[in-house]
Amino acid sequence: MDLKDNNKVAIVTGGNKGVGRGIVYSLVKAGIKVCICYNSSEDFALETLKKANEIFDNHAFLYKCDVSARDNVKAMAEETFRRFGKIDILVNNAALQPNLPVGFYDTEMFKKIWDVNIGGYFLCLQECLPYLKQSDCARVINITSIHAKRPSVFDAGYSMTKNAIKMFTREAAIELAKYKITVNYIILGACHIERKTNLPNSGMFNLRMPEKARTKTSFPLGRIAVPKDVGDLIVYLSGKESEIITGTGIRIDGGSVLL
Amino acid sequence: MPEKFVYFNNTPDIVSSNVAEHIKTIGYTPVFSDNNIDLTSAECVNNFLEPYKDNLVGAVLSNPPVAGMRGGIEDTTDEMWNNARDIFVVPMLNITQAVGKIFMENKKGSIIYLNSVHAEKPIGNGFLYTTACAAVQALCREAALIYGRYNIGCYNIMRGIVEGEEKYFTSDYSPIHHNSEIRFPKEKLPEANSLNELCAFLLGGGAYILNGSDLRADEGFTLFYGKSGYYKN
Repeated sequence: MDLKDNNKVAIVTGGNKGVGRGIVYSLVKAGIKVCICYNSSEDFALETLKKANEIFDNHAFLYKCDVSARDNVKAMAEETFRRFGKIDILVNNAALQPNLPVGFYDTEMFKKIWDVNIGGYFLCLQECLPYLKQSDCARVINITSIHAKRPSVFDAGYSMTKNAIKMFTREAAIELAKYKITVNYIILGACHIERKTNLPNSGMFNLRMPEKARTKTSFPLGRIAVPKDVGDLIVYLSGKESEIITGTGIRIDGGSVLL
Repeated sequence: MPEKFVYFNNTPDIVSSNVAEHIKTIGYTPVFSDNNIDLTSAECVNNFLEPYKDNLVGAVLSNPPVAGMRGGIEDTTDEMWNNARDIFVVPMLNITQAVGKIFMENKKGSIIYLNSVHAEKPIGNGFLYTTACAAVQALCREAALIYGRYNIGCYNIMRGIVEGEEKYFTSDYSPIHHNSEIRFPKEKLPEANSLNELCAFLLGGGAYILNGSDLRADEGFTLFYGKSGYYKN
């Protein structure tokens, strides 16, 4: 797909690192201008911006934003429109994963991840909607996790929010169909990223097996996903070719959940 | 014989009310949290359950009414968002933690989520409700893995509507609750007592094989595939 003359504009939340970073690179490579939304790890954000602009000059900018705060989100949508004149694609990706099993969550922590992991998706969609309605190819893509389907053991609250994204997507798909806006979700399994969350319990559970053994026994295709896999799917979902696809989830896990 | 207590989260849910009445007839004592208990406070939930803990054998957790959670993506306010979170998912997590802890000490117990088919099926103008339903579905799976190690069964009943409930679910976006009786193979909505026996079964130890299951309990409502395939003698 040659999209170098693409005139689309995207917002990618949590676009500074990990999966979000891969999504940003794929979109920019396809000629799509991107607002890289981040809320922490500024060093990663600067790195991502540098590389994005090496791929395609002046096709990306950074915006610091807490997706659970309406005023932040509104300002981000306004700034993206001011810079690029439109918004066609919203990729909701920003999430917290404190790694706490069911008995370990306290109410405040749970509210926090609920408000970011699902509330942030809602706020970003609501605030971008006036712009998306003006697009002739509007796409919303919500990133969720395999733990929406298969329990994690190590993070009950995270799994709850990730399954909630499934229904958020389905509801948005039927509500926004009248504007020809498609809404889909990507169910991501294990993925190679630089590092996980900065939250204090992130090292509490170490589920990683040695790489070779893990890929042999747990992934039929023999490898773990990389952020580019997600980015490439998003480029496809962002195109005209996908206009009939809405309200659905596509799993990227190398077949792992089947084992 | 000591009493066998079963906790109900006391939402105004006609199905759970029927279940509570039914299980009295088979030897259980339903316990309802008072309306003045703050279910968003883990401490309040724990304090409420303390007197019952030695003989608490089950919990039946029903969803709050959908009526208070209707709103579209475009018009839902922050206040509606916070309210839905605080009356639905936060109490569900707090109660799961509280009863789970008690059951772990007792090495037995059943947690029954009287959830909805709308953990899978959208309503339209209903994302506050359905996202929470899906969250509870995931909570059940997580609880089943952790608490299942202690002989505790966790079950997610995805119930459909029963008589009198269809008006709360209608939407301009989906026909699913318009003239909904046609979608039931029996062409009538189930009665409010239709889940009594299922819940009674799940409260017993014999149900443990179903730990972590999604149990669709809608009399075939969501299997409907239009009138074109309609056949009647």
